[in-house]
Amino acid sequence: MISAMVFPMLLIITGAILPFELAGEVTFERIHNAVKNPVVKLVLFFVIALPFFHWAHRFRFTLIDIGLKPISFLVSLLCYGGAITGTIVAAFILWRI
Amino acid sequence: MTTYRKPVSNTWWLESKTYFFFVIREFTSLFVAGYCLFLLVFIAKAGDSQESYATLVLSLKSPISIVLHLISFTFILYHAITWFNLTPKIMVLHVGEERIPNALITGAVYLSWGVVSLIISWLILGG
Repeated sequence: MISAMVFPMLLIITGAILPFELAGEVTFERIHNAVKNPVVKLVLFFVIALPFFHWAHRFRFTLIDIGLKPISFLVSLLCYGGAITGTIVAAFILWRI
Repeated sequence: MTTYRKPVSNTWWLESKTYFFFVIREFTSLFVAGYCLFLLVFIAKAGDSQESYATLVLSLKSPISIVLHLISFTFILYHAITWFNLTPKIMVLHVGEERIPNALITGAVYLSWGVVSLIISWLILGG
């Protein structure tokens, strides 16, 4: 749900508007101050952490369904482990700013 | 007692169009996770220094970045649209005895998508 609502616009911004300067120059100060804001940080944390689990769950079951059933435990471990690692890294990066 | 289970071939998802698009839809999650990683790099650089941010914006102009963005956008858009279209099927709402029409629920979801997108672009790019 979060990825569906939020990511298409973010992709347009980082993939087209920023590189082609379609909205003029977006200054470092603007983005820097935004990511330093505690409320923005909290929102970013959920916007990144929850889709990691969205991925982990879907990817796990798809891999198992298309033939990795014999190693389903390993697949689950890697998927959820990856999502947990991603969440910790996200918390660390946001905390450090 | 062992029960017999009919073995399922690993290519079951190639046997029908519906299954194929279902698996493609599930695989769009790969691009979701990939973009999450990109966002983390973006936040780390933007939170670091002017130089890091300038290098990042420069790398956004590279053909690799643009192609990856295009591919991810296609897959994530597919995920988003199919998800929004099935909302009335998982969220059945009633007013009294009357069921709220599917189109109204889907419309509301698309409207909120538009509003959320506008807010994001306003927050990042400014008025």
